[in-house]
Amino acid sequence: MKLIFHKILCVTAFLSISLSQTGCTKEKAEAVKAAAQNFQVEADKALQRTSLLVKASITTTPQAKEAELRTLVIEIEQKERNPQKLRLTLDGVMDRYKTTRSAGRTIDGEFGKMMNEYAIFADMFENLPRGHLFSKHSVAAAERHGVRLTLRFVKMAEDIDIRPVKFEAQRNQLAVDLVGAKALTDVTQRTQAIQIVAQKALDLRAAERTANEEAILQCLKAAEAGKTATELISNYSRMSVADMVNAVSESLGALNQITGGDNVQIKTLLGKYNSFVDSKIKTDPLWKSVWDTEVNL
Amino acid sequence: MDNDTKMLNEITAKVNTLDIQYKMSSFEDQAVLGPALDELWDDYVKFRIKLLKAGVITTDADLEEMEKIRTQIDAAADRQAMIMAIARTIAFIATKV
Repeated sequence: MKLIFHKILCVTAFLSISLSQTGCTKEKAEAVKAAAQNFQVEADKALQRTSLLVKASITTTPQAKEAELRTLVIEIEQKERNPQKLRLTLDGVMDRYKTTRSAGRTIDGEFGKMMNEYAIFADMFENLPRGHLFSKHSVAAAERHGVRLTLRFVKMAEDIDIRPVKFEAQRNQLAVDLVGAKALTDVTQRTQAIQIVAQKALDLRAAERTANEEAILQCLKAAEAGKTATELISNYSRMSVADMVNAVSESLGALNQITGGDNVQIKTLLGKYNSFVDSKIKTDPLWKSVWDTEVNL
Repeated sequence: MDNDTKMLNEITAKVNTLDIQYKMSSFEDQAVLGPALDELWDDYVKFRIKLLKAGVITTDADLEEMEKIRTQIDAAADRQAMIMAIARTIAFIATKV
């Protein structure tokens, strides 16, 4: 009896040792889980920032209440005593800032869906440290998703760089304000009013630039985090624990280096990630397959 | 200029024209123009997001597969916990026999 138990014990110990020797240790599983969670955190930040950027393009700064009240009173005074027309005037003033409701819903919906994808991605590995001995194939199957979700941020950063988001609604408001300023008959008042709008235009230019740059940088941070998570997934059964720790620390170093700066630095960073993608497409069949079938269709 | 940029410029020009007209109108006219402007801003945003996504779309099949992988890893965790428990029990009994 004792002999049988010892045999079973030996077999169990052998199985545990041999499975861990195939590379799927708890530490490595913890590293993959942490990398996937970090990817989700950085992706959330990038999507939040980009969503705010798109929202800013359609948002108009509300007019001062006093000015709005003055215009409303004048319009009502000039109107005939027609309840339908007066009702329309009231509708106009009450629904004035609701002309971007559908667009706002679209932005929240689309970016919300994308955020959910990164949450699902991170969720896959939640129990990996508890099931590391039997999850080698499942982890391998997740690589394709890591590639796709990483590529998205490289492309998103590139798109914002090529076609920066303009704060259209605010630019339109400035044009309207200029029409009003130029209509003033008093020269001093006119010059003053134009100066105020001109200053607002310069401020808007700076705000647009900052918002676009911040979105690009955060997208690249998310791409870096995705690149690391995908690398760990890809090499889950091959990399040693030490190599994985190195990959994570290198990635953290890279993330810390993405801090912004001038346009040249941003272009350099974009170039770095585009080159990474190019080289992966040339050398890794999985990246090529994702690129060919799922990007720029 | 590529086609996407041309298309974006067209949609933007259209919405900007109506937005300026809206902003310069009386409140009565704004009530009439509002719904059309709402629609155009939505078109603009949809196209802008399409460009930002650059064709990287997660399909229902992708989501299902990710869900399946999660279930498999969860099942592996349960299996591993059970095996470890058996191993611990055997080890305990072995020391007593």
